[in-house]
Amino acid sequence: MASFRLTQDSGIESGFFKDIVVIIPALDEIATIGHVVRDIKRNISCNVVVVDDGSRDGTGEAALRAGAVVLPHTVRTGAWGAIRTGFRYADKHGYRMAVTMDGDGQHLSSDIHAIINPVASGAADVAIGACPLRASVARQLAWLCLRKLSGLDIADLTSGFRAYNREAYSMLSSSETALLDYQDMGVLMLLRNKGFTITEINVTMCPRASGHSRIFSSWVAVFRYLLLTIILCLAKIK
Amino acid sequence: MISYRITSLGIGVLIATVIILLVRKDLLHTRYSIMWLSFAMAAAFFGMFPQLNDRVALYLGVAYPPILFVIGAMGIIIIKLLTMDIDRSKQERDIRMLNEKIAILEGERFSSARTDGPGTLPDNPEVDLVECRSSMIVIKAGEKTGSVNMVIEDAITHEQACMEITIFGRLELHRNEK
Repeated sequence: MASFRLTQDSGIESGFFKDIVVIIPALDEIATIGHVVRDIKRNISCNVVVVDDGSRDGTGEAALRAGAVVLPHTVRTGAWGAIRTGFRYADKHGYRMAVTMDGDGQHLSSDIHAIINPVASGAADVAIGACPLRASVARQLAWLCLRKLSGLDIADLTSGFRAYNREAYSMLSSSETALLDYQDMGVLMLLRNKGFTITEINVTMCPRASGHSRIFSSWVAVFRYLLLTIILCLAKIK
Repeated sequence: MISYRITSLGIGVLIATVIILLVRKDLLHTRYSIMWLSFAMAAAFFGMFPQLNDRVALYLGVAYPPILFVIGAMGIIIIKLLTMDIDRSKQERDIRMLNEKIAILEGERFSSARTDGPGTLPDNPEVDLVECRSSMIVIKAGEKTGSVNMVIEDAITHEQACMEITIFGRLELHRNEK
């Protein structure tokens, strides 16, 4: 039987975790996914959903063996597409909150309590586990430009470690966000434009245990990402 | 030398014929044929009556009338390309949403197969394959569905094993006797 630990000041009842689903988008993460799922299940008694975005290395099976529900994508749609699948699963099963995490071991399951706290208490609709110091100078500079352009007052724009309440994740699983590629500017601007409150919680992020960033894999990829994000910012500006 | 009017008419009729043939062979949706047929008719019409083009060009202040038709054609092609990209975006949205729905259905189907309980299989069970995954297979024996680990004993790849199982549709289940 899985057990869960509570932080002393969380004020969250243990049964609450049954209403939370942790969504992990995964693509070829066999080296870490099993450990990530088991670690979450050790820390809190919640349902873990791994959305396998067309892995060829057996990531889905590893997640399944670790006790996760695996939703396999037939067509590869990227991290945001995988998160949307998780949101739709959560919506179908009526979860009160959805937490998104990376499958590469960057995010600590012990920080889940910290990011669900403001959402559970109603202080915010979305909480972002932020670690802006992890970014390189170039990335910090890009974030600064995007912040100025979008008017978003968020320090960590690309963190995939987030907690959403039901209203927020239901809205994000609508067709309105189906053509987004990343869980960053487009999602955050839409949340802000729809009046959802976003808060940031400082968390610790580990270096990747394996693999590399797919968004920032090369200079061409960085340029493409920046160009697309700038166009998106200009198009969605309030 | 034949008249350029005949040439223009010929091009228009040729495009129209190709479009009709494509629709006839179900290679082009009827809704897309309207634009191309209109384009063919315009080519034929302006070719037959070039003075019409000259008059419009004069009215619009275009110094070299033939270029008006070229610019008009380019404009239509650009609009067509834009509408194609809009259509592609719509299709991509539909595919992504369909993909999400399939993933949820497949995930739930597999979860229910896993949680169907251990059950007991007869001594010489004849089981049907439901799904072949990288390290385990989902099988059905009578009304019972469950998953078993797959051990590949011969020097074949997992893909080959899956293919054989899938082609034959049935597989033998050996109990692991220690």
